[in-house]
Amino acid sequence: MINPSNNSSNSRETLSSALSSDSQFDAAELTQATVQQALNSQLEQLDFAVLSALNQRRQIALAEQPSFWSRWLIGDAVKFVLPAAIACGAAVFALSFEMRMPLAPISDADAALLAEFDSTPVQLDTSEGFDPTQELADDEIALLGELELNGLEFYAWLDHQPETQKKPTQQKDI
Amino acid sequence: MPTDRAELSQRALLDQFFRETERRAYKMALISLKNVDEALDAVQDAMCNFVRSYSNKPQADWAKLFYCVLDSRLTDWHRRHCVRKRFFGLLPQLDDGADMLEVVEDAQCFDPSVLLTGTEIGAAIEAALQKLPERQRQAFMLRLWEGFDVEQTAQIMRCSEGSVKTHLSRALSSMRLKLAHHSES
Repeated sequence: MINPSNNSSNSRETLSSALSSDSQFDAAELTQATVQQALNSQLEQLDFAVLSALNQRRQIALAEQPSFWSRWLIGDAVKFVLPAAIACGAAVFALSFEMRMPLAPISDADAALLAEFDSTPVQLDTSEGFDPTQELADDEIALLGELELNGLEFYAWLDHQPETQKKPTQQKDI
Repeated sequence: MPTDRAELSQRALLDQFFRETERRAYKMALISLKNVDEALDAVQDAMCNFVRSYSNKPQADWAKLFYCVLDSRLTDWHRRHCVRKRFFGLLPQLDDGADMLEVVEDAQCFDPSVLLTGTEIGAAIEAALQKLPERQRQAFMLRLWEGFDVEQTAQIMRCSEGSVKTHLSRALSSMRLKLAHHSES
């Protein structure tokens, strides 16, 4: 016979001990054994139609069992092969995109400047005896390397030097 | 073929497992859904999903995983039912000739078929369980009927252990009240 209790403090104590432990609990005689026994007795009352339907549905469910290869496909393939394939595809796409990427567009001012350079013929100033076809001496090469300047910067730098250091080719000739 | 033999033994193990659990699962679904066909569908869906997704897991985890799938299925059903009721509840119901007195639920009366077929305590507990909220009922049945511990129940219900304890505590209080009313009557 079920005998529920309304004693709150006692009930709370029993309940808390029941909730904290994984074993049986004893709250107002509604024990785990009572519940299991009561509900299991209900299971025995299931009629034949329900049992037959359950049996049929179990067979349907068992037929859903995936084969070895489909298990592999949805298991290992999804876990390992697919991410690897996606990573490889992404790497190939990134590389091809990088290779096909056009140069960065230039501004209008830069374009105008380039057009001006293209239209102006290059004229070398040889009035002071400078011969651009002449090979540089070793000390000039060393000087260039030391200053780490390119050609244009080197000549700009040279223009600002005292007269004694100017025109190294002429000095060499002398 | 070793693979075929392994699949056959796996099928036999699954068959045995379902034979042991299907009645309890059906009863749990029936108490939750209150409809025989819906309960059978829920159990079948849970079985199919379990076979498809979890049959390769260790056998020791099968019970926990199966009830986890069933729990998801029941929760989904209740959510869908709630949404359906919210949208279609405003529409006038088609009169199919049913007597309204058969539809209205009597809070004071238990289902006579349940009372007649089962034992008195079993019928009373089952009737009281049907009136519990879904989560409380799941916590109660998993802990007390299936015998899962708090940690396993929390994993099945996908909530914290504290939530399980709260649901179980409320379910016990509610059950005590309902059963007290029943014992007095």
